[in-house]
Amino acid sequence: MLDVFSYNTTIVLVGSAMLGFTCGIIGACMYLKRRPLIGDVIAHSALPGIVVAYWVTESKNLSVLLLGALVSGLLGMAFHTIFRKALKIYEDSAMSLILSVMFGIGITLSRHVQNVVPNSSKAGLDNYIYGKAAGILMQDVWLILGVSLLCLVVILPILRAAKLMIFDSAFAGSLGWNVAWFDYLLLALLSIVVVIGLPMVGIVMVAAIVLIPPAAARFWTDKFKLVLLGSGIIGMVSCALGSYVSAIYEKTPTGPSIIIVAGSIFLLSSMFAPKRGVISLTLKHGKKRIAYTSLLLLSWLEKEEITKVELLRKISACSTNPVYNLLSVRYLTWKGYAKRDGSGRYILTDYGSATFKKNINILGGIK
Amino acid sequence: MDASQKALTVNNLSVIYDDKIVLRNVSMEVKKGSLLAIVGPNGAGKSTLIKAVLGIISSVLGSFEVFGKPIASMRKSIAYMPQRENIDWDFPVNVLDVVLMGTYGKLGWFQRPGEAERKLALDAISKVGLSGFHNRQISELSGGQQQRTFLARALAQDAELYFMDEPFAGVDVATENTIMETLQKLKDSGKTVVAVHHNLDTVQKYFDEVVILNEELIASGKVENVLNKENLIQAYGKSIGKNLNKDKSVFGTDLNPDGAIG
Repeated sequence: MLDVFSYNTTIVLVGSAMLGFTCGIIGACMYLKRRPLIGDVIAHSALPGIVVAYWVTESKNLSVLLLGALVSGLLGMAFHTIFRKALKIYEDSAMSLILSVMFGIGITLSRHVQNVVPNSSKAGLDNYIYGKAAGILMQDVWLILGVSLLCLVVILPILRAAKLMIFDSAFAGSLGWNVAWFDYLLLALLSIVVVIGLPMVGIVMVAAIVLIPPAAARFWTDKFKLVLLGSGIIGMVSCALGSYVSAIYEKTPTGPSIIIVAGSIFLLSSMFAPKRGVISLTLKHGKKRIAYTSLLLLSWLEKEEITKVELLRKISACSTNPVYNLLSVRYLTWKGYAKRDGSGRYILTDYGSATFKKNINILGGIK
Repeated sequence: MDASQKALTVNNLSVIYDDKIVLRNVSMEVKKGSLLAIVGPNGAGKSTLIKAVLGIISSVLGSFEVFGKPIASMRKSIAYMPQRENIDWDFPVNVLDVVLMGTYGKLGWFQRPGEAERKLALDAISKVGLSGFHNRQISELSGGQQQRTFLARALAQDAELYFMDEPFAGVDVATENTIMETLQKLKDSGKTVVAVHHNLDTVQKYFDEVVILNEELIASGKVENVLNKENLIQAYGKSIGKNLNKDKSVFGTDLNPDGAIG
């Protein structure tokens, strides 16, 4: 087990956290632009570049390999634009086409290079696929840390302008702002963070670290700035915690640990967020739904006494969700609208009858 | 026309999209203080005309001037209300955030909106009848309220020349009235409005000048002089002519014998 408090590990964790924060911020911009998956194209397209850079230079130097990654990542993105605009292929089809073909080329090239270049199997090319924080040298962490910080320095001062350009590019254009330039800047920043994320998070999963944090953060807030900040923090926590776990359990690749943490935060957010979370939405709409359905039941009980089985059979013709139907029948006795007699039939109480008469006027009559 | 009376001058404007010419050699002038409607069939290049003038589209030939000066120096005197269809209305902003964006043009990329901008925005919000809605999330707005929000943002730009792309599209009656009143108030205070408009029935009610467009300029001038059968058939094709003959009140008013609407 690794000494988790050593200087080196601390630096790895700090670098990882910084990377996660930057990925979260830039990822949120792309997410709100509704183009988050472009990061996946860049990541997968980066592999041929890494392999070729190693093949040509036979150097394991991270900046050299990542420069190769950046070039071929941008190439993949350019292909994507050409496919979409000139060949009129649907955006998502063009994406899957390019990312799988480029990844295929990358894998094939990497096997070839490992055969022809001596000792190349030790170059750690495979580490780029799933990510390996433990395999990263100290100088490389400084590179990741520095570049992440640089991207932040570029994006943070223009966030207010970015909000407008992402929300309404036509309006921003009418102010004389160069929206195309901003789009290129954003894509460039995305490419850079995706590429520097490769050694830690890996090709297969790096796109998720720009996508999951904003999706999770969006559940918690309706404010642009807070979506970005939340996304940054979730990215930071995911990367730091994921790298930490992977550092403790040596055989765990870093990418998957990071994504599992991010995925868990997403799941919790989607469940427990106060306004947009599933539980809150269910409580809000479910209460109304049960109240309305119970009115329907009351209208039937007004005419005759019905057994539970019969009530459920009748209601299932009107409403398809069995859980709500069952709860609505329960609601009758719980609210005291109806009682069950010895034979299990539901009988309307005076209170139930009054409630029904009161509400039928409001709702304009239930048949 | 005296140069100082011209809000907008467009000379030989053509716009190219890939291999298509969307606008061909359009020249027109907009008088200061007028309410001008741009009408024409779908795909006639109405929105494109506005976007070309504003510089949102760059594949543009020709020249244009705003108050006799190049547009780049007049940005702060121009307001724009785009169509709301291309907007992600689930975007994490509220009404005040959106209306404040109207002040960004004067503030630039880096300056924060201050108390003065906030007041301007709240004032614009109340002018379009959305008082009390400033904290409302835009996803919770009705179509009419969305349109009012965009109108308020244009008002917050505090401009001299307003470009509006289909301001009346898909709104309820109350919003339609609010927009109409706002246009009238803008005119009364000497501002100029150029709006893309799709409903021929209401051109005369809301506007005093009209430009009829179908790739080329068909006609332009005062509504009562220009919005006639001949010009409309030229822009929309023969089918609209049949409607005009069958139902004389198709534009809300009777056509007089020579086809002009009066």
